[in-house]
Amino acid sequence: MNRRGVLALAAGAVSGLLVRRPRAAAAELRPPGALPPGAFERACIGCFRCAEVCPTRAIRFPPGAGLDAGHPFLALRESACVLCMACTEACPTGALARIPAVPERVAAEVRIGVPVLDRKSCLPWSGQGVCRLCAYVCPVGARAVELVGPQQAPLFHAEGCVGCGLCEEACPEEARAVRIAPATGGGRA
Amino acid sequence: MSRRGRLSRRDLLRAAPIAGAGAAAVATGVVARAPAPARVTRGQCRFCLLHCDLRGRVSGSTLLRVDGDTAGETRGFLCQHGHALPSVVHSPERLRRPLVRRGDRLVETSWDEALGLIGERMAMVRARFGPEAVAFQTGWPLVRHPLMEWIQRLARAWGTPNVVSVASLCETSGRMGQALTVGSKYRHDLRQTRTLAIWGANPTHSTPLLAHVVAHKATDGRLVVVDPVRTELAAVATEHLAVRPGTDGALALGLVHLLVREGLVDRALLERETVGFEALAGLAATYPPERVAALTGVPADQVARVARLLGTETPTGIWSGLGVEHHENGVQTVRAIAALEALCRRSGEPEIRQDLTPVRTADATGPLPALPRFSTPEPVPPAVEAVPVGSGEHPLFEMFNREAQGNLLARAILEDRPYPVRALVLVASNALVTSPGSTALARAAEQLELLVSVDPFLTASGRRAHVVLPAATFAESEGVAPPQHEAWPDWKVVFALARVMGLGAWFPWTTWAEAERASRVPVPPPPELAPRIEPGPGRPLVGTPSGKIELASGLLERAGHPALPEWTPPSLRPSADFPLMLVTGPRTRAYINSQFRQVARIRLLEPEAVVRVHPEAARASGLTHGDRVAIVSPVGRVELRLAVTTDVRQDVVVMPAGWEEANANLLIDGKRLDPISGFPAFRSGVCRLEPTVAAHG
Amino acid sequence: MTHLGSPEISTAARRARGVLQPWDVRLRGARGYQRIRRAVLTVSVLTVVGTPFLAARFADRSFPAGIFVGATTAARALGVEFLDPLMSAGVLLAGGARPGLLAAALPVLLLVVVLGRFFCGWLCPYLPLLAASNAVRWALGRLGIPTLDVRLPGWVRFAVLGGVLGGTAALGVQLAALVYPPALLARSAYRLAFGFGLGGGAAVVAAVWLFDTTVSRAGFCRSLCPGGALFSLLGARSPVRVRRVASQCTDCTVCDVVCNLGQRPMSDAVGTGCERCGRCVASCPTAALSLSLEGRRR
Repeated sequence: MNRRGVLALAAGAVSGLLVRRPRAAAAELRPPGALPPGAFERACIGCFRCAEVCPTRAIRFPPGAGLDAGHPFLALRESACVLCMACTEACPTGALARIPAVPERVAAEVRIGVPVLDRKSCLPWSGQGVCRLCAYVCPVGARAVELVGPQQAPLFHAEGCVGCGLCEEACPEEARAVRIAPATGGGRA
Repeated sequence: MSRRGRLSRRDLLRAAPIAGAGAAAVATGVVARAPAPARVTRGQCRFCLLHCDLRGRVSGSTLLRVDGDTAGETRGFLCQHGHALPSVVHSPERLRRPLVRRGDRLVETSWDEALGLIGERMAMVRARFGPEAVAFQTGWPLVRHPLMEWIQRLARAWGTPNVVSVASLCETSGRMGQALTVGSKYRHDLRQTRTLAIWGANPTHSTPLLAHVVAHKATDGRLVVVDPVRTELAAVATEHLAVRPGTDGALALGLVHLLVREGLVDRALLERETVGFEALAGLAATYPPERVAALTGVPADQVARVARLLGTETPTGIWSGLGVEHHENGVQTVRAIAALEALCRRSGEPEIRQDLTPVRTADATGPLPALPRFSTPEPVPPAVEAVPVGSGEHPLFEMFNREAQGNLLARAILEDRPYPVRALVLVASNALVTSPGSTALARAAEQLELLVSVDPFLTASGRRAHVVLPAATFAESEGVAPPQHEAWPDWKVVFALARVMGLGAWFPWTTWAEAERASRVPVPPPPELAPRIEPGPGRPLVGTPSGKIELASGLLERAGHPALPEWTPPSLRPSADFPLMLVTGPRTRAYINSQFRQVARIRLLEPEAVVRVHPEAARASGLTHGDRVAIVSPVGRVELRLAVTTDVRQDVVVMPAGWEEANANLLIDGKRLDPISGFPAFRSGVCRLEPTVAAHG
Repeated sequence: MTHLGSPEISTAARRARGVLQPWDVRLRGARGYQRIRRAVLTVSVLTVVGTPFLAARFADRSFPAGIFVGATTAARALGVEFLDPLMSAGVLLAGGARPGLLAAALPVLLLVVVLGRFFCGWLCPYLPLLAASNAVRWALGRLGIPTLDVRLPGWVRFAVLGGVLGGTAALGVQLAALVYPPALLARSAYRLAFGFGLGGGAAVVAAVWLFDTTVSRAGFCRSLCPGGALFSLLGARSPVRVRRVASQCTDCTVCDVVCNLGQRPMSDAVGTGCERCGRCVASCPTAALSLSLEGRRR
């Protein structure tokens, strides 16, 4: 490469550096082990290996050609994450930090999102009936969702929840009361 | 550039990439086209007997997801097993084609070849050993399934009495115990029940749909749980009686003692509706609270409190489960509990027992209503001469089930007692893991000339089989999911078996609907197996021979058993070598028997088999939480992980069943059976704990 | 001097009054090399396109990622990571480097240092599309529809590279993943295989293809691709080069014509942009060119 090339590289770099950061898009649910927002986008190269190994196809990529087009997200309403940790093992750059699929480690380190319950829609909370389904399917049990009171209503504990979305999937369609929302700290405890 | 000129071969070569690109574009267009719109299917979940309504979403040949059907009776409830249905239907471990054994390996083959091999072997077994040498064994998915009557028909047409079902080790002791006492098995109208006792059952896991109704009783201060383990339900109950395993009968008699002593019985009602009250009171007199406390480990004052609760806050219902049945004294324990419940009845109160077999409308001239009915289309295959395996040792079992007692099947295979059995067809059964006496069964499997496994998956039993036939799941049989691979629904397999066994004439129907529509005639049992309600003054109240609630059972007495619900301790008692009591098989949240271990989202809930041990017991054995331990019993040894918890009694360890790699049935003696029903003592074993080589890993 | 009378030029071209076109040149020589290269390229393309479809068929089971996972920009075979240097550089400059990035980047880095810009000639999944682009140019030419062939100056690709890396550093987002055709093609194949429909990346690839077909022959690879630019930089010291035996050369210019990336072997001006495709070697009627290992050029 000659001097013109060096100058061109430098000029390109400078103009690139002057690009303004666009307004932050709404946070997405990232696969387990994801670095916090900001750090994740710096490390993720959009290679889709995480999505390739995901057994439930919960990991998706946005359509379109925007800045987020190469960043995977979890479509928990379509398909819950079964916490197999294969995605964390497949990531080449550590955007998804490795977490072994050992129950204690998973329960302690995976924080995909936090449970958000709409009590007005929740059958027991709104006095419409008894359900218990979210507690039945939760892999970490009482740490994340406790059933309280005679109506066996769910009390979610965000600090214990791994965010897998099994509760969101099990919640009866007439209720759709609980969903996993992005936490402020990213996908890793 | 020349516009003229023909295309030369070079030109075609140059144009090739365009053709390639064009083909790729077309392929892309084809692949990227909008997927077929999803259609909705409806059905019922059949992983357990609650039959929750579900709604499936299907696209092409894929069941995308299921949800509870909010429009059905169960109003959208669908537990973790129902939600795992797509994972089961589409599991990559499903069998795609039939397998036959060649030497050491199982090799894929066609249905024709597999069925042909079965037909040959069946004929050979018949020629050498007689038709009764063939047995059919079914598992949990076929409980109360209409297919059972067709399997009975097939067996009868072939000439074997040996149909085995889960009745050999599940529910029968309860059904018999209740039927011998109050004429039939029953369940409770939970809303009308004022005081509810859950005795040896765990509705949180076994009947999740009703669990909240049960738990609700606790808020009114009237829920009693009797269980050696502090289950979730026990933790919220008004009274939790942490009873020593196998002593439930003594506890029940102790409660009877207290009810009688404190006058908490309605003597007039008992006079009218029961027989044997005085005799029962005499038996119960030998169970004062102090003795009961010593035998069961339940403090005397708690026994007194519970007796008062049951006797005063009526109507009282007692829901008893497998926890009291899986002992050598199971039937009598159930009888004692049913008797206790009968003593809590008061005149004028609503009847909270909902009977599963009609009682009030009992035909006074027919067999007892609780006896099994079998009906089949005409022509009816002739009666079979041979008696079913186990009928000699457990005649009452045969009477109440019209089946062979599967716990004695291994003996028939290995010792030819009462006669040789050399062919076994397992339909939805993983008997080599779930039946008692796994060691003997494994040896027995070697002796079989033909072992067939009909299952969607290759189970441990299937791996030892000569022929493995891929069955469709219930979702496919009912149209909730599209058919997968070359799997056939169970009915189609059974009918095909009939044909290759030369019995096609008895099965002329080509579809299940057609077969089910055929009109049937009842096939009565032989008279010696069909006691009747004895004629007497007045209408029979219940379906027992006397027409009354039999606190003392004449039927039992005539069969050589105690008429009263006497308590006998388990034959295995803790000793120096085996100081701990072993309870195997309580229900877990994750699994149903040996099913679901290949489903990732269920495996999450319980990744491995764990034995629960009290801290004192762990310390005494030199073990800590998380260690891998060996449980050693007089008949076997199993390694698994240990969890320390105060939820279990100090003298008891609790482990789950259904794990092939940690098979509880290796630890339970398959020869110690309930004399009345032939049930195994799954929950009253003995053992000790030992560290394994890798104790701290 | 142009030797239009060389027997290796087709009759049609001989008749033409216009410039010699690359598709008129027969690649007679270096057959073995070309076969190997095409085989490797086929494997590479099949991997990009094929493994997502294989993965899609695995349903509820984990993909056997121990054997192979990924595609051209980030693949792992038997435990060895093959990470595209453009991606590694982007992660590093954006501040997203974690322990293990160097180990992941090293295998490809070493290959490029030794073999130069070989990725572009041997592995890039865009190559079949480039072949289609050239074929369409030929067809348009046959139909008499003119196409441009604007040659952008050589420094443009470095400007693009700088811009991509600079923008990545400034935004904290990997821009390469959004504009680099191998990454876009791999991700589009995955989207198709998993039934999600083509994404925006396919539109970018289509734009690149149109540019190549109508504006500048192989123009993106030659003048714009930031990946190619980075490979050129990293592979500047590669000992694998095109050598010309001047005594055998007849100055027929076929080698210059056939090169996709604008190198000029006839004038000994094969620079860091050479992708070691060997077309020039194969096209030389007198076998004056060869690809060989050599020490530092005099």
